[in-house]
Amino acid sequence: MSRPFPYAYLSCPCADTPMPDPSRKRRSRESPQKPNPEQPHPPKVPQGNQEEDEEQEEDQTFDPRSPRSNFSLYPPEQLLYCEDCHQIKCPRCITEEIVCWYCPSCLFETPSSMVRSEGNRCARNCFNCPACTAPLAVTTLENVTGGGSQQGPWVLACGYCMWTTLDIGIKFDKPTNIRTQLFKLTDSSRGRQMSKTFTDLKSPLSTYASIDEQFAASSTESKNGDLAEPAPLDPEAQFAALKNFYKNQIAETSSSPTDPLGPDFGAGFSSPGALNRIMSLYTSSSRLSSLYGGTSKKPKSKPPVMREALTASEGLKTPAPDAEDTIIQRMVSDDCGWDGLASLEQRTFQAPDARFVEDLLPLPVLLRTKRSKRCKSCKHILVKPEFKPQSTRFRIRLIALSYIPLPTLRPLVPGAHGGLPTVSSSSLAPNLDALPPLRTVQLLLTLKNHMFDPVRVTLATPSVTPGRVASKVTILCPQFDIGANSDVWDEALQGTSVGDQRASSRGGGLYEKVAEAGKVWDKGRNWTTVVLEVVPGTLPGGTAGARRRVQQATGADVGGTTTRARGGDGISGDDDDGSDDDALPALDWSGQGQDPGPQPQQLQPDEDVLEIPVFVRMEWDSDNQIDQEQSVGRQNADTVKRELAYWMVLGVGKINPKIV
Amino acid sequence: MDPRQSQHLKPPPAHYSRSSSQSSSASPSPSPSPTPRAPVTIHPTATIADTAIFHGTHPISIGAGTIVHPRARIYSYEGPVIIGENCIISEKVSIGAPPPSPSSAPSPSSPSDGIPIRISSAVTVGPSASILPGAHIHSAVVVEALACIRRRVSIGAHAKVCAGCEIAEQTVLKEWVVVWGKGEGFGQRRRIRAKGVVSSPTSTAQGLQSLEGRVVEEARLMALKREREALSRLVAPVGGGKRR
Repeated sequence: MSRPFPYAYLSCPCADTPMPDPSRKRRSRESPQKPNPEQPHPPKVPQGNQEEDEEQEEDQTFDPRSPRSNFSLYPPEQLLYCEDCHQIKCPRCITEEIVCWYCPSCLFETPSSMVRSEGNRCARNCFNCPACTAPLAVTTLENVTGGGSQQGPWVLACGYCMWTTLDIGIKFDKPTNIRTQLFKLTDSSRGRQMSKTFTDLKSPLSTYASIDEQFAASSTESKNGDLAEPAPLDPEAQFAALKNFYKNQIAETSSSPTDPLGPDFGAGFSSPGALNRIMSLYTSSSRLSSLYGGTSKKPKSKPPVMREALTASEGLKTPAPDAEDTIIQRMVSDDCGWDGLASLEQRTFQAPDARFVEDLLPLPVLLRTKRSKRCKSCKHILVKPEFKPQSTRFRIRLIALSYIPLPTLRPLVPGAHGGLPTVSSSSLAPNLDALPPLRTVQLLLTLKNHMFDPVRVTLATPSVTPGRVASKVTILCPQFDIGANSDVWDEALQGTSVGDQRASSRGGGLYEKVAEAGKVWDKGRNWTTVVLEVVPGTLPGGTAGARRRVQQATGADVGGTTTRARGGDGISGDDDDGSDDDALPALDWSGQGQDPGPQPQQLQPDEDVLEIPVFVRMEWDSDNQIDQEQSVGRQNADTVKRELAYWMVLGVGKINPKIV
Repeated sequence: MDPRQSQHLKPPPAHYSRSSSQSSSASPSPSPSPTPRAPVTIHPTATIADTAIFHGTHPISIGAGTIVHPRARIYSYEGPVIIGENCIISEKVSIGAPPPSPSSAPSPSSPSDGIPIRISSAVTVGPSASILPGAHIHSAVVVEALACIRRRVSIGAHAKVCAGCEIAEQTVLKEWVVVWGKGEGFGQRRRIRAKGVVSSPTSTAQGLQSLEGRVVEEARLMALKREREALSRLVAPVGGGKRR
């Protein structure tokens, strides 16, 4: 909840419908139903009198404070809409597919096969600064060294922190293929003696084409290793050696073909899907038992023991006996100091033994992906970007805001039109970060329709917000219509009459315009504004004192009510509300004279945030797209009545702990 | 710089009337006394925008080839300001402390007891940076946009203060140091630029003779020279302010 007040979030209905149900989908296609079948009828709100249906809907009231609701609340612009299911889709109810990999720096697409073999970093000239992560530029030094045009040594230079590859003593002969040049430089320097077999290794993610090659490589490598034992492997070669070693170990130790380790690790060890299978290993107990030698069922022959890497050729790295001492000596020396040590952030993406700033190598830029998104239940494509990385267009993009009205909330400033608060009236605007409790605030809720059909909207809200801080909420006009998103010119052409009328009502009756129950505040081409009346409740710091005083008189125990957790975990919501309702009048008027000192230890985090759950139900007539082909003549029967209902949460502001 | 005050170059009156009127509108002081004009010594080859402001009681001197962008404010209330050769002072830079507001008439202290601001040659000061009295900035330093150099700071040659970084009072930055990074969780960091031949394990194993890190800095200074040449045509005052 990091947005500034006031904000509006929508709750994706998927929180209440855990499993996508194909039958429900079919039903909704024929006659669109309410999205959550747990709420069979929407709350009927007759003219702002919500007391009765609040009791009906009490157990279904969306609680913005419950721990679960965090996962279903999204800003409206982040939601998608499935035209097949007629439902809002949040990031939890879609699946994503990678369309392409590309480098954000050079916008070159990388084929996914190459990503698999070479790793997900740009293979060309794009690098980030190892010191400060700013992008590095390939620059020439020809100006200084006096070489010819486009000649001379090239370096990578950071424009921000002025790091260059000369800081680590590297320069390049040509300005292209920097990555391979850099690889050759670092590789030949680190493992010169044994680099013969590993020069063809481009990255730790690369794999051998066949098993034979792999064995051949390891055998020749081991010979080399025998010859030059103390030569250290560079980290990438060491990783490759370790990987080979364990692959062989797994192949050898998994004797039986039914052993899950065999096919899982041996074949698909390097494939990205292996992780799923590995994870499923730990979830299923039968596999787990077989992993540990099958203790429960038939005792197998003694499982072969996997050994660890023993030699340098297998990837074992034994640091030199004085390695630690030399590092410490280097740290202590004057030319290193604190600034010469690489920070944790810098070491994250570097070789594991890079301890000093001089050890840092430029980092190739991480690739990014473009993804298409599908509805999880009906596989309908919701978002499909263009394939080219250079293009920012979308072929398909069904965002929710083109189907549901966009809610915006703003305080109603008396004496000015809400949209344009003048300088004089801005002082009258309530401070949303410190709302005085028990003082009525009027808010304007605007719903803007982006559909081409007019929509009838019914709003419902519990009269008292759930949670310990009970704020009273009244929607003055809970049922209204929003016009269709017709041609923009319609409003402009009609603008003379409407504008005059509005101007007179605004200009003349600037101070006379008062929110009335049952009447829409303002209305435009495709938007409607209604007034919400909110009485913020008092914070438990204040109520506790009052409550204690009240209950001391009655001799009741107070600990249970004041120290329990918010949000009704374990405690049902209406109990909470009921007790707060009881406590509120006791504080409200009798506690006026006391000093309600803020007691932050009793206030849960964010409990002072005033959030109003509002149930939105919209009805509209839309063209029946299924029957459109058969019926040529357009009639009224072509239109289908649709409805959509969802919860939305309006964040009004923070309640001031002090009663003013 | 004091002997040069004899050849005190008189700026055109239009420039001064404008600057004083600007300052009076900017700081509406109740006292009718005009803001004190600082005794300014400007080398003939320097380029000063006509909306730059020079206020204060102590002398201000600007060296050859230096460019002062529009709306730069140079205050010498607390001590003299000495700007060397071939510097670039960008827009809205504030050098020196603005006049103390309660007593708009600053005490006419003698130049000897003021704390000077010394900016050596080939220094670049980015837009909206601020440099407070007592700063001593050596040659070829880069102070980027919105950086803040507090009082009595000494910055060594070829150092760089990256954008938005703040150098605390009485700090001494060594030569070739880069101060960078800002924000929560990461904080300010320092780094020493390589100026000589670096013998990293990579280059020694490679067996190649690497270049000195200094060449990058030389290339930068050459680019800076070209930038100054272009700027002197752009920034130069339009009407009669050309002092060449």
